[in-house]
Amino acid sequence: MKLYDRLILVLLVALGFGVFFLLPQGFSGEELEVYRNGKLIASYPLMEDRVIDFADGDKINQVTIHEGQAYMSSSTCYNQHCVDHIAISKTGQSIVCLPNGLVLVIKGSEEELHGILN
Amino acid sequence: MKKNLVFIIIVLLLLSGCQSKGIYEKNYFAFDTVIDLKIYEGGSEKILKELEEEIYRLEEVFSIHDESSQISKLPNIEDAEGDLASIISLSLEMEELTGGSFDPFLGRVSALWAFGSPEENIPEASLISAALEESKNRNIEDLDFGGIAKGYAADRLLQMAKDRGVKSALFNLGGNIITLGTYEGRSFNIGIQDPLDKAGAILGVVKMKENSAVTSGDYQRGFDKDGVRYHHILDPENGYPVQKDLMSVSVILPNSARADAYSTALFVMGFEEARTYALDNGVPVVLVNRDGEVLVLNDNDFEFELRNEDYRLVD
Repeated sequence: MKLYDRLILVLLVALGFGVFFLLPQGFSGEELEVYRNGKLIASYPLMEDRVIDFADGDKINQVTIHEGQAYMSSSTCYNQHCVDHIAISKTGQSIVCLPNGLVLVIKGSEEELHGILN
Repeated sequence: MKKNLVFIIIVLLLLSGCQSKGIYEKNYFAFDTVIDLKIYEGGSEKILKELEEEIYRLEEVFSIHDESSQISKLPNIEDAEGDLASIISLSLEMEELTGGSFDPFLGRVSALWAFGSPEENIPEASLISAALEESKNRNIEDLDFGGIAKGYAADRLLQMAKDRGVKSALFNLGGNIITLGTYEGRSFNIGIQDPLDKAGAILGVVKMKENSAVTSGDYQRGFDKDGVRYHHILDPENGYPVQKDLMSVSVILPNSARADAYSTALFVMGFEEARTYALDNGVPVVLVNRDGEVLVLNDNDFEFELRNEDYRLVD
């Protein structure tokens, strides 16, 4: 391979990597998606701390994102299973509030677990 | 130079292959749980929509809580047709295969407990024994597909997806998981929840390709009262939540309806009986008992990886 060919090869490979990493999904990183009755209603980067209230009539859930983890900080549901759930941070993890119809799911580029039997 | 160009093109193709493959995903509520559909390869919005509609259709057929469902309007078991006839037939077969440990006629008893609703409670003992006695008549009012319907629906979704050319998918029906094809040529990683940790920690991971996995556990639907756990898996012998030595049973079988029914039946049996049954009948299973022992049997089509130091694998 001549020097010129090598140069082109290096440039093309660099361009390939550049396109791959600079595409929008490369920036998205780990995100929290929030679904109400199956509909995506919001998504937030896990890297930004915040507290969000989701209200649907008297069904109110408070979600907290803190230091890359998300958890249900409060809920008006009767069983409080969602509030008892550990904070989630890995792609594929979820917290479900069945009575209030709210689901939190962590999204990311690589799924470590594709599904959880719970 | 030609060879170099070919090489360059291959490198670029490989790089472009790393990008997003167009995953189609939908999660929503049906069957009193969260349904999560993911199509990794060969999907479209149209297919996703068809799968979603099929779930709603099956829910309208099987739901014993909905007065307008087909099952609620059925006058006699003998009059069942279509999906209803199929699920009744499969339920009866699984009841026979498991010696009655899977009992599809506990509907009247489970209605008293009302698990998963704000009315869940400990019923009067006299009501339970009366309902249990009544259930021996095996009337239409006694039928409850809670231990098999999600598996049946999962099988249907898989077949529909296959018929529409889907190559890779994972459908999670509230803990009933069925997979199609492979995940980028590799196994799907399915986490099994730690039964002692309601907060959602993982016990271990099942690695499987096209298959189905279903877990029954005492930590699932139910409630605690005065330090006692009242969960949704009822003992056909007495109508109370099973109080034996198993905490979690995961069955890994390509047929999700059978896996669903087996997981309930083995949980009802208890550790030793379930071990013997699974060995005698070749049921692929991960059993977890109250001593923290994890027993993996018939694992020809899956791998189990323990990921929790509170448990130990036994032979």
